[in-house]
Amino acid sequence: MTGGPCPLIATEMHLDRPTHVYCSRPRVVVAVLLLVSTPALACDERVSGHVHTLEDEPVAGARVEIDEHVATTADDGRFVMTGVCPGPHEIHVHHVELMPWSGTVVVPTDHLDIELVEDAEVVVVEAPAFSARDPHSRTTVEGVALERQRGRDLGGVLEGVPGVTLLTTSTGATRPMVRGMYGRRLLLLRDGMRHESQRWGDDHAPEVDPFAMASVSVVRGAAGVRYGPDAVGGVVLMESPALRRERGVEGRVDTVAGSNGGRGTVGGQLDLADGNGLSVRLQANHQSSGSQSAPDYVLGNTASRVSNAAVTVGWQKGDVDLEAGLRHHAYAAGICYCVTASSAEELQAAFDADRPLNADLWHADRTLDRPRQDVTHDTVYARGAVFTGLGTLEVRANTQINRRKEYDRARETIEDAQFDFLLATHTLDTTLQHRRFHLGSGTVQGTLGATGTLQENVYRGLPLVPNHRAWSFGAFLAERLSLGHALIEAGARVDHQARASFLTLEAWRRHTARESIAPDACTTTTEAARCENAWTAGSFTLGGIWHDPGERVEARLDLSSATRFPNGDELYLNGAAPTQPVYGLGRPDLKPEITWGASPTVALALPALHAEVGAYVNRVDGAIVFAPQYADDGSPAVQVTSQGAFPSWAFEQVDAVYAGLDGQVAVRVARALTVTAAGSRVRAHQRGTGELVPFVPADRGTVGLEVAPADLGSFDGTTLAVGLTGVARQRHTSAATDLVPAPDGYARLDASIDVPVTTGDQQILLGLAGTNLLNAHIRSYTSLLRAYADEPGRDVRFRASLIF
Amino acid sequence: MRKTLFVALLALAACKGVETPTEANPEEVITTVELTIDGTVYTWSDPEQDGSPEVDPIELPGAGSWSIGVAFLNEQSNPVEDITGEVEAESDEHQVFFGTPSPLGYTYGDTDANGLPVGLTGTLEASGAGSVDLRVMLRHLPAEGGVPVKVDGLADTFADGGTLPGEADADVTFPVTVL
Repeated sequence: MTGGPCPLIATEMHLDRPTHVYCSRPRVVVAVLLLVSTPALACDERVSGHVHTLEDEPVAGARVEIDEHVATTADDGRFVMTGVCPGPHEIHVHHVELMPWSGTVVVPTDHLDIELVEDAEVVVVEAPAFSARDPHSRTTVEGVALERQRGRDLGGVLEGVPGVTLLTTSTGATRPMVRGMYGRRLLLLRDGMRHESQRWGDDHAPEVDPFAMASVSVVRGAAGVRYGPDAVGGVVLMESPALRRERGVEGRVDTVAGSNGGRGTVGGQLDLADGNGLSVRLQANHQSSGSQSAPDYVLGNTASRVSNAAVTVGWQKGDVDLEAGLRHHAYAAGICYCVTASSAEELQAAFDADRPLNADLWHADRTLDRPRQDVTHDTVYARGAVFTGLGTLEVRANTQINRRKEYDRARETIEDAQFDFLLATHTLDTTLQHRRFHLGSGTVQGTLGATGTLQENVYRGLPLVPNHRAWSFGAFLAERLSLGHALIEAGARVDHQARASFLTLEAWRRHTARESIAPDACTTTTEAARCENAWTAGSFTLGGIWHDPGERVEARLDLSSATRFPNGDELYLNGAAPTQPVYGLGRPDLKPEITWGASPTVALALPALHAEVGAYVNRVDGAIVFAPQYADDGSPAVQVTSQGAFPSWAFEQVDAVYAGLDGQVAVRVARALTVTAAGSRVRAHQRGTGELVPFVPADRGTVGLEVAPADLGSFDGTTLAVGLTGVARQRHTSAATDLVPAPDGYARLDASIDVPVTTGDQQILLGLAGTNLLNAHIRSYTSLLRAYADEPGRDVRFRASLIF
Repeated sequence: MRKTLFVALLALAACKGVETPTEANPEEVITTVELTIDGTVYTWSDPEQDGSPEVDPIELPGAGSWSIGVAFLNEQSNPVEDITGEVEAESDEHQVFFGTPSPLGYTYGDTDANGLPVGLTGTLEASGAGSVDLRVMLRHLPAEGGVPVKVDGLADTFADGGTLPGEADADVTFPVTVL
């Protein structure tokens, strides 16, 4: 058995998604282009092509095999072989200094264009890779670094990435913030498909399965052209392993046990292929956790259960590659009893207390009590790619159903959820990655595409948000010019969204009474008020990469913009804000947010030193912020309800600037010892007024040691890592919008040991990882728990995976 | 042409339910608090939940004491739903707190199965003349992890400005004038 799931996927894989991709263990191949044409009949075909590197340098001496035919590339990278039979064939390309590549070719064929990437073993997050070929600042977590985070949620997986901060929700789950932006300003893509959920809620963790991913990449900064609306602060790209293509069976079984909360996870993946084009993957896992514990007390009612199941079927034949799949994600979690504040005074009292009021009563168990969340996310998708003379044409369709029920404390006679959201999203998009052509001394490659989305939100529950139906369309073109040691990328995109919101007549009256909607702004029927919005916005990108001939230094510059259309809550919220003791009101006349970003990045790749530092300035025109409102006399506005009088907050638009830098360095001080350091800093303020933007992560830095002894035989690859993270107190806060002061800074010690054991065709991965080993009392500025309780304390995870 | 194809395919998935929004769980909502003081009913009411409640001012004849009863209603429901019975049935997880600045005072007149005060009935007292706000808060105090959080002394905690467990199901204020 030689095939296997890809432990390493080069970061360009999605953009250039080849569909002739094949993984050969232990190394993995990523190739880009195969251009094929029409069939013929006799075994007298001639196959020619050329092999080159990502930088278009010809590869001499590469061995090309098609069945029994073998050719070696000349100095210019070209090869020719004759007497090949028509039809599909496996093709293998090897070179001693480059990663091997395998794929399928249908003969007769056009001149083959084969790209080999540099050989590398597992790339860990600390090591910058030049192969990203992306002007954006980007880091990929894969291989050992990803294995080490098995059993953690998406935020946990990305915690070590420079520029990423975690937002802890009221359930204890985390969500990633990139350069200070999250939620609706951070786009998640799963295998190229937008993850569509109720991202607007601060305590809505992403409904994704990190177990199913071969790599997770963080693209920092605005990236609207390539990824579409909402890619304001960045993009998280989640990629599944490539399907098995060789006849046979492979898979893996994972188990993870965590000490904090008595967490247990079991999962598995099985890949089957008939060798004739058909591939099937079955994948499932389940995690159960009791209530987590802070250093001094149990965080009552933070038990959780997470289940995932997926089926993927692929079919690849000749120049056609099809794939379809179903994914189900279920998440049920209690919300910490500690998160309760019926007024601003109660919130302040909770913050002033050393520990939650009833902490002594709470004990660790697996009961899910009210308040709790019950979330499911189902995805069905199909995609197909065909290789034509023009290039690779890919069409993708998917439907996602996100169901979120939130159960608040309620009298025993009330069984239903108080907040019940159903978000259905249907997307159809197509891209054409045109074939590479020469322009002067360079080559041009690019993608054009169009996408259409229908999204419907149906909400039932306490007054909060309306139903809506939104149609979105977008079209883009992005081109890359490769010039030896430089690359220039440029692109443009236009998006349009037409949204109709449907308010109950009661909600409509509540809005007009509060003057948050003008009486003539919507049309009313006997059933509902229909309020319409439509926006059109453009995005642009211009960037470049340059590296020295020896590939020791690389400089990248990205100038990009991104658009974000207002969400339903920002337009029509009317009710108590779910995570703060304030009364929130939407604003129907909001305009799209437009972000203009500039981000230079410099990277070094010396034999004993890897480093990457990125700086950025993101100007957000019309940033939609949630802010307190004031009466004409300057006093805070108040909304009176039957549950008390709350400060009145509303969405409004300001011009904001986010700026900062982040980076990482790894120095190999001895053959087996590497010292690492990483850090990030974000500042954000409103243009004109200078008022600070709240909820921006505090400055942070991490230093670490990694020991990787060589020559351990069957235990080769064993690594021991220790990291110390320091987070400063956030002193750049806004008294107007921070309901309680920022907590003190903290330090956290983590450590891990990973031991791979190879026996024949099987591999066992063992790992022991500890988080917050000193059980430090941590309150994070970007945690929804911060006014109420400490973050979860020490957690030691043991994991064992069998790969067969 | 391509856009037309998108619309045609995506329209197949559209549904009508989105155009007929409904507000579920109306039984959860308390829109109205009624105080019955010596047979006279005073109402705090915001049935539309539009932030403009109608509040009856309370006028007391002078120093003295009066029986006071509290009722909680949902006037969004048709017919109007009286939630007081549910509160009484779950009195071990509910308590009404009265914010009674001087010259007002309050004495609980009922207890739950554990002997702890409930506050659906009691005595309102006045020691002299003055104009103040009477705060009435219905607190839901569900057990946490199976352990009761409604304990003795919560009324004193409330009076002292301390932190209460649970959440406010209703929290309204009546203007009171003691002649």
